[in-house]
Amino acid sequence: MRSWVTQIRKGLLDFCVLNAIHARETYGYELVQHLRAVEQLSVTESTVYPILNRLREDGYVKVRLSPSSSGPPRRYFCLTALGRHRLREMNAYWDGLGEAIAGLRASARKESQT
Amino acid sequence: MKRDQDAGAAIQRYLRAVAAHLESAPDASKRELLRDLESHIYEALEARGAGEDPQPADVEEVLAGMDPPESFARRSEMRPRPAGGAWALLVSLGTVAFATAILLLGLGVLPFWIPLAVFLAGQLAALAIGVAAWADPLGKAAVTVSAGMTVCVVLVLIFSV
Repeated sequence: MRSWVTQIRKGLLDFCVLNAIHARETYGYELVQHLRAVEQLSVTESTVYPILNRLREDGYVKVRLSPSSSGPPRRYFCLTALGRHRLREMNAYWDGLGEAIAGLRASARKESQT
Repeated sequence: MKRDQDAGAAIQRYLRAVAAHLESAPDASKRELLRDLESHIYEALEARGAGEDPQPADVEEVLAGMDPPESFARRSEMRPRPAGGAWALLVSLGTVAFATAILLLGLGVLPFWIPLAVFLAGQLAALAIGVAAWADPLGKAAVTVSAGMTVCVVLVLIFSV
């Protein structure tokens, strides 16, 4: 079970990070806290920041610097046009997959009752 | 002031330890990750109400709640990406251009099989490099382009003989 969960989680992290950023422009700490609240994802800094880094290199995410009263400039993350397009595709796929799996489970339940 | 310096020094120590575990990561990726982490630490301090005047104890607590530096080394995103895809594409398209040039310049002088051999050798090399760099999107593109062009040329040859 654990390896299945690990595989599912690994595949979903990009999707979750993109959705979390899409909701609103967000800074790193806030994003980590937001994703940490989803217990099933069990993310930490060493999960989120390398993914953000890759999404930025692939052109899906960009960083906006904003001066901070303490410490270095705050780094706000938002989606690029390419990132928004990618997320639309991912969301559409996820919706289709969710419906298909729900259908499979419903027919399995029906058959087990008969 | 001394406390500020202690707090800053502890943050820099953590960042240096992370950097030490990312030796194989590309420089740009490493730099961005360290900037993200530094911002994260100051944002975490601010969330604790210690942003303006962080005390060593605050920093210590924030750092203790974060992943240990070595955990960043385990992330595949921080490893160098497979390269070679661009080379495969260059070899594929380069030999097409070269073979076409030989064909056009040598019309009536050079036998037909010479540009054909250059073309096929180039596509085979591009396929080999592309397959080796399959994880690179450009590697996949090169394999598709080379295989597609080779099939087209072979079909033209079969139907024209």
